[in-house]
Amino acid sequence: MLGAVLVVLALLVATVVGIQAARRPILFRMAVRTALRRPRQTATVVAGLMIGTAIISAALVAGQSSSSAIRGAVYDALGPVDETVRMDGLYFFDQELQDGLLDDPAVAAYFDAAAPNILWQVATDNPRTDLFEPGVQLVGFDPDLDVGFGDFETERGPLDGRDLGAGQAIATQGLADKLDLRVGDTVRLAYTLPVDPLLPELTVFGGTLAGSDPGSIGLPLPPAEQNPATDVHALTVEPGATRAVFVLACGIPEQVDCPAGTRLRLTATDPAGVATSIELDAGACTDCGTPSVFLNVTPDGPRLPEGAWTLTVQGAVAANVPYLLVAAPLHPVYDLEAFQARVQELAELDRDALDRFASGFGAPEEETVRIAAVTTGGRGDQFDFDEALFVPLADAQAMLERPDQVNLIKFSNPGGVQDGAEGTDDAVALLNATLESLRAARPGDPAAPHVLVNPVKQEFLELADDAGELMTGLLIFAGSLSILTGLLLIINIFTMLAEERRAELGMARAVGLSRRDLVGLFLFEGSLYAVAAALVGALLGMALAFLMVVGVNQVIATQGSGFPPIPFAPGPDALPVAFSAGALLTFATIFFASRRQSRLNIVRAIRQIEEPDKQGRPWLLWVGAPLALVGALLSVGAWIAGQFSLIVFAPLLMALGLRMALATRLRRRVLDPALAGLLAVYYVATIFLIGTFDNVREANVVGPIRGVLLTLAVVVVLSHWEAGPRWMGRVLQRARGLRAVALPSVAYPQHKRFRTGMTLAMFSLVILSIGFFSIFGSLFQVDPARHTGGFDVEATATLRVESLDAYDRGLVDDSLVRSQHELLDHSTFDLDFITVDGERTGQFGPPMHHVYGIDRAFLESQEFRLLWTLDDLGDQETYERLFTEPGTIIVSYPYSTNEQGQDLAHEVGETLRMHFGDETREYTIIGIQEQFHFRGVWLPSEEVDGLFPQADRLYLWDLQPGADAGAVAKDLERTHRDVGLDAEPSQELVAEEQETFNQILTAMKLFLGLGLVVGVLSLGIVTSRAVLERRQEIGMLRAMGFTRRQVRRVFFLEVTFIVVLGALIGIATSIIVTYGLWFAFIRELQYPYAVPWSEIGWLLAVAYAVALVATAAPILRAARVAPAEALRYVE
Amino acid sequence: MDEAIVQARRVTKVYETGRLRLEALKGIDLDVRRGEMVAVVGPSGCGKTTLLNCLSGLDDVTSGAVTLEGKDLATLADLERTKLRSRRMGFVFQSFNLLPVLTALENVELPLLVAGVDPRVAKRRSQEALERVGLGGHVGHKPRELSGGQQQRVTIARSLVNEPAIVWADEPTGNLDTETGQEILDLLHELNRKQGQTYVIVTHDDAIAASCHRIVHMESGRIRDIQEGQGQPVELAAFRR
Ligand SMILES: Nc1ncnc2c1ncn2[C@@H]1O[C@H](COP(=O)(O)OP(=O)(O)O)[C@@H](O)[C@H]1O
Ligand SMILES: [Mg+2]
Repeated sequence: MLGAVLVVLALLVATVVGIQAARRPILFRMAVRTALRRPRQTATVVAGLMIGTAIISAALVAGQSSSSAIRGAVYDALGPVDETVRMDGLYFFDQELQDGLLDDPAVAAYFDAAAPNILWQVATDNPRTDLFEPGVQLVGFDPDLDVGFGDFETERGPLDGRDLGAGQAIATQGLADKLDLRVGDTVRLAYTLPVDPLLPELTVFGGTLAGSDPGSIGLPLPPAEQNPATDVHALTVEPGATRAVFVLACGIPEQVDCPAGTRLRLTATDPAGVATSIELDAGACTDCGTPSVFLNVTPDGPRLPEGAWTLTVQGAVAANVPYLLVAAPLHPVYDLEAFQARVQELAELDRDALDRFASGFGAPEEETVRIAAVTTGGRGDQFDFDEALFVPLADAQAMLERPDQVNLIKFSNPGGVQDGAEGTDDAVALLNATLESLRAARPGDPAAPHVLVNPVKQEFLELADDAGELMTGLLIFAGSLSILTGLLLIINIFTMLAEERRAELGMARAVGLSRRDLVGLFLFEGSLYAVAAALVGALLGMALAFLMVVGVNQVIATQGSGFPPIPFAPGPDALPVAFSAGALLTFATIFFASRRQSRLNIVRAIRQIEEPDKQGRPWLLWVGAPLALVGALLSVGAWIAGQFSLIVFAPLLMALGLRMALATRLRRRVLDPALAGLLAVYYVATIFLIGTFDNVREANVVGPIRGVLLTLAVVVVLSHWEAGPRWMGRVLQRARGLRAVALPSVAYPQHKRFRTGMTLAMFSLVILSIGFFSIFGSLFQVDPARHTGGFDVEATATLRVESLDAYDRGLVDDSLVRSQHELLDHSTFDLDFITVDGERTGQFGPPMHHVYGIDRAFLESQEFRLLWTLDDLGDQETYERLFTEPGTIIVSYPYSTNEQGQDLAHEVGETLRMHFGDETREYTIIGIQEQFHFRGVWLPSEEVDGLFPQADRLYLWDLQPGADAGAVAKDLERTHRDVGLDAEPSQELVAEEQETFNQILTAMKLFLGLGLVVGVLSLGIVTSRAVLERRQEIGMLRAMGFTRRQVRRVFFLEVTFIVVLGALIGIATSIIVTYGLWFAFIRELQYPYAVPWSEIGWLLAVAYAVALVATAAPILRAARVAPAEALRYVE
Repeated sequence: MDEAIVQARRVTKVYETGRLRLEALKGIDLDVRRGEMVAVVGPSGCGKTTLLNCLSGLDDVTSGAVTLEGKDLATLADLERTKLRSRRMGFVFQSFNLLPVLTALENVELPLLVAGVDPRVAKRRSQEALERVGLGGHVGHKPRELSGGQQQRVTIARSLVNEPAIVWADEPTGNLDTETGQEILDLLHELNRKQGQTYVIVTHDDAIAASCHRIVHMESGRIRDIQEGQGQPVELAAFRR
C-alpha cells in the first residue's frame, strides 16, 4: 500500500521534472553534459547518494525473504491442507457431522481431498530399548479418505496406509530416533481419555429419610416397595447430556449428623426402564458427618437417553434425617458464556462433590501398537509434528473411547500446495454454508455450532507476511540513522559540488540565468544522479540482503537447529518500491540543497571570494521573536506539566527562533555555537531528569531523538571552535614526525566548517547508533536466575492427571528438591485473545499467550521480581493483592511491550482484556514482572480454573543449591514417565533465549554497520574532493620541500582528526544517552551500568581501519601530485 | 668567473599529451652565478615557467643536464630533490600560493618546520622574517584577510625564512598593480643585497627585468640572447661563511 503510494509519487515527480526539462531543454542538456563530463566524479556522487536507497532496499528484501522463509515453512508444515474444520481446544464431535460435510455434493465436488483425523497427545515407551518420549502426537486417519493427502514416504518406498492393520502404527523418523525404533517393535502408549467441557444441569431434590423401624437397622435394606422410607423423584433429562452424576447426601442441608449405621441406596432409572443403582453402608463409621452416595451413569452410546427419569432414594436410618439429592446430567458446553453462567450457579452450592467429575481428570490409559513402518516425509510431515504415530482412525477411536467421533476434518483445495491457498475464500464460504445447514438439521447437538472452519493455511501465510513486514520495519528503524546519515552525505556532496562550481554558476547567472534556472539546473542534474543512485542502490540493497540471508543461513547451519535455510526471495515489488523511495528521498534532499546553493552572489562567485557570514534580513526578527517566545512559553509549560516531548522540542524551537531573531545583531559564527552549546547542556541535564516523567512510552521515541539532537548540537559547537584545533595542532607539532604536517592538517578541517561539521555529524551519529545498541545490549545480558523466579526445573505432562505424585516411580533423590509447584497453564495461539490498552502485545518468542494460575503456596517460593507495581506497593503486597482484589492481574515483561517489541509501551494501571468470542473480561494490571521466560499473565488458580476448567499444568521445582538441574530434570522425566513428563532445566532455557537475543542484536549491529559504511564513504568522498581542490596547494607544499610522505601525513592526520573527534562525540553521547536511560529505567532493575569498552574499542578500531582504507586512494593520489603540474593547474 | 650555482647544459623538455608532442625547451645552456639576480623574459608560452621548473628540479628534463651546486639533478631521487628544495631553495609564484587555511605566520613557519627546525625557533624566525618584509603587524592574519601585495610579501618571507641559496620567482608581480609590483621588486633587491641570495625571476615587466643583473630573453623554447641589466651583482665575498 505504502509501496504503491511511493511509486505513484515517484512517477509524479518524474513527470513534473520531465515537463520542466521539455520546457527548458537547454538547461537539461547543460545538466546532462555536466554529469557526463567527469564520469569519475559522477560515479562518486552516485555512490554517495545510493546508500539510503540501499538500506531501504535491503530492509525490504530481507523482510520479504524472511516472510518467504516462513511461507515455506507453512507449506512444508501443512502440505496440501488448506482448511480444517474443528472446535477450539480440539474437542471431539460426532462423525455424523463429518459425514454430512464430506457427503455434501458441493463439498465433494469442490475439494481435491477431505478427510477426518483424530489428534491426541500420548506418551510413549519402547520396552525393547527402554527409551521413552513424553510428548507424541497420535494421529488417527481414515485409511481410505486420507489417501487424497498423498503417500507416507518411507525408506522402502511410498505407503498409502490402506493396508495398515489393526494395532499397527506408522512412526515418524523423529520418534523412531528418540525411541530407537525398528519396524516390528511394540510401543507402549500412555494417555488420558479426552473429555468434553462438561457442565452439570443441576436439579436439587430434598426430603427426609424417615426413621424406620429401629429393628431393621443393621440389616440389608428391605425391598424398596416395602420400605416406608422410599422417596421417588421424577427428573427430566434434556437432550444432549453425555453422562450423569447423582449425589445423595445425608444430613444436608440442615447440617445435622446422620446417625451411625445409616444405609442409603440410590437408583436411577432411564425412560426405557434401565436402572443403575448404588448403595452405601455407613454402618462401620461412627463419626461420619454426612455420608453420601455418588452415582455415575454413562450411556452405551454417545448420549444419555433423554426424557423422564426416575430417581429412587432409599434409606434406613434411626431417626428422621434430611437429605439432599443433586441430579446432574452433564452436558457438553462449548460456549464459554454459557459455561461461565453455569459456573456461577454451581458456586452457590458446595462444589467439591461435583468437581471431580467436571474437571476432566481421568486415570491414565494404556495401549500398545506395533510399528509397521517409519515415515520420512510426505503425509508423515503433514502437521509438522516431529514425533508422531499414525494409526487407523478406528483404532484411535477405540483407544480414546470415542467411537464415531473425530476432532478434526482437513480439506485440500483444488490446486497444489501453494496455489491451493488462493481458493480459500471460496472454500470457507462453501464449508460455512454446508455447516450451517448441518447445524440446522442437528438441533440437539451442542457441539455443532462450535465446529468451525479454520482457513489455516491462509492464516499462517498472513502471519508470515506480517512477520516479514515487521522485519522490514525493524530494519528500517534500525537503519534510520544510517539513512539520515546518507541524507547528510547528499547535502554534503551537493554543497561541495556547488562550491566547486561557484565560478561557473556565477558566470551562468551573469549571462542571464535566473535563480530559478539555477535551481532547475541543479535539479536536473540531481534527478539524473537520483535516478542512477536509486537504481544502483536498490540493486546494491538486494545484494546486501542476499549477504544477510547467506549469513543467517550460515548461523542456522552451524547451530543445527533444524530450521530450513532462508531462501533469498525478493518480491516483485521490492525493486520498484525501493527505487521510488530512494529516488524520492534523494531528490527531496537535492532539492533543498540546491535551493541553498542558488542564493549566491554573482560577483563573489566569479571572483571566488568566499560568501561572507550571512546577515539576517530584518523581517526574520518578526518571525524569530514570536517563535522564540512561543518556544520559551512551551518550555516552561512543558516543565510544569511534565510533558516530555515538549521538554525536548520546545527549547529547540526557542533556539531556532532566537537564531532568526538575533541574526541581524550577532554573527552566525558566534550565534550558532552559542545556541547549540546551550541546547547541548540543556539536553544533558534533562537526560538525568527523564525518570520523573510518567509517559515513558513517549520517552521511548523522543529519547533517541534527543540523543541525535544532542549529538548535532555538540557537532555545531565543535565545528565552530577556532582555538581548539589550533591548540591541537600546536600540541601535535611537538611530535617530530608531525612537526610540519600538524598545522595544515588541523587547519583544513577547521577552515571547511560546514563540510567538517557534516562529516563529523555523520560519523558521530553512526557511532552513536552502534554505541547505543552495543551498550544497551550489554546492559540486557540477563542473569538467568532472575527470569526463572528461583525455580530450577520446569515441566509439562502429556497426560492430564490430578496429582503427579500418584505416578512417581521414586527415581528422584528427594533431598535435592526444596519444593514442587503445580500451576494452571492455559495457552492459546490466538494472539488477539489478550490485549493491553486495546492493542496486541509483544511476544518475545513463539506467538502465543499463557494464562498461569497460581496459589498462595506458590507465592511463598517464587522470586519473580516486579519492575513496576500499581500504587508503588511492594512485590509481596502486590502478589497478595492478586488474591484479595478481583479483577487484578500481574503480567510478565512482554505485556509491557507492543507488537513492535518496543519497551515501556504499557504500564501498570492499564487495562488488560481477555476476549472470549463476544465476551471480554477486564483486568487491571497491578504488576509487571521483570521476567520474560514464562511469557504470560498471572491470576489466582481459582480464577483460571473457572475460566479454563481444562487448563494444562505447569510444574515447577525449586532445587537445593548446588543440585544439577539438568540431571534432576532427566530423573524427573524418568520417574514420571507414566504421565509423559517433559522436564527442562529452566536456567539453561533462559540462557538459550539470551543467545538468540544476542544473535538478533549482532544482526542489528551489523545492519547499523551499514551506517558506518556511509560515514566512511563520505570521508572518502570528502578526502577525494579535498585532494582535487588542493592540488595547487599540494604542489606548493611539495615545492617548499614537503616530501611525499609528509603530504600523505597531512591528509592522514586530517582523517584521523575527524574520525577520532566524531568517534569521541558519538561515544560520549551514546554513553550519556544510555546512562540516562539506565538511570531512569534500568537502575531499578538492579542491573549495573557498564560500558563494554573492549567492544567499543573494537568498533572504533574497525571504523578507523575502514576509514583509512576508504581514504587511502585519494591520499596516495595526493602524494603523487607532480609539483610542476599542480602549480600550473588552475581550476 | 664566479662559480655557477646552477648550470644547464643542452636542456630540452618535451610535453607529450596524447598524440600531441610539444617541445617546450629546445636545448638550453645557462649558468646562474651565486648572488646574481637573473630575469627571464619572453612572450607568453615561450617556456619560461618550464625552464624555471626544470632548473629547480620541480620537473624532470627530457634530455640534457642540470647541476645545482655541483649536484646533477637527474641523479637525485625525488626524496633527495625534495630535501634539496627544502634546504636550499625558495619559491615565489604569481598566484601567491599561500595555504589559505593558515595564518601569515604559520605559512612562513612551514618551510622551517619541514626542514626540522624546532617549532619555537621556527615561530621566532618566521616572526622576524615577516618583520623583515614589513608585515610584523599581520602575523595572525589569514591570506584572505591580506591585500595582494601583502600576500606576496608573505610569500617572499616564506621563501627566505630558511635562508635558501636560490629563490625562484615566477612572475612575482604578475597579479599586482605596477606600483605594488615595484615595491615587491624593491624588497627583493634589498634582500638580495642584504643576504646575498641568488634570484631567478620570470617576468613580463621590462622595468623589472632591467633592474636585474642579467636578462635572459627566451623565444619558443630557446634562449635568444642574454643581456646585462642595470643592477650590480652583490659582492659575494661578503656573504661567504
Ligand atoms: N604540462 C604540459 N603539457 C603540455 N604542454 C605544456 C605543459 N606545460 C606547458 N606546456 C606548454 O609548453 C609551452 C611552454 O609553456 P610555459 O613554460 O608555461 O610558457 P611561459 O611560462 O613562457 O608562458 C606552452 O606552449 C605550454 O602550452
Ligand atoms: Mg609561465
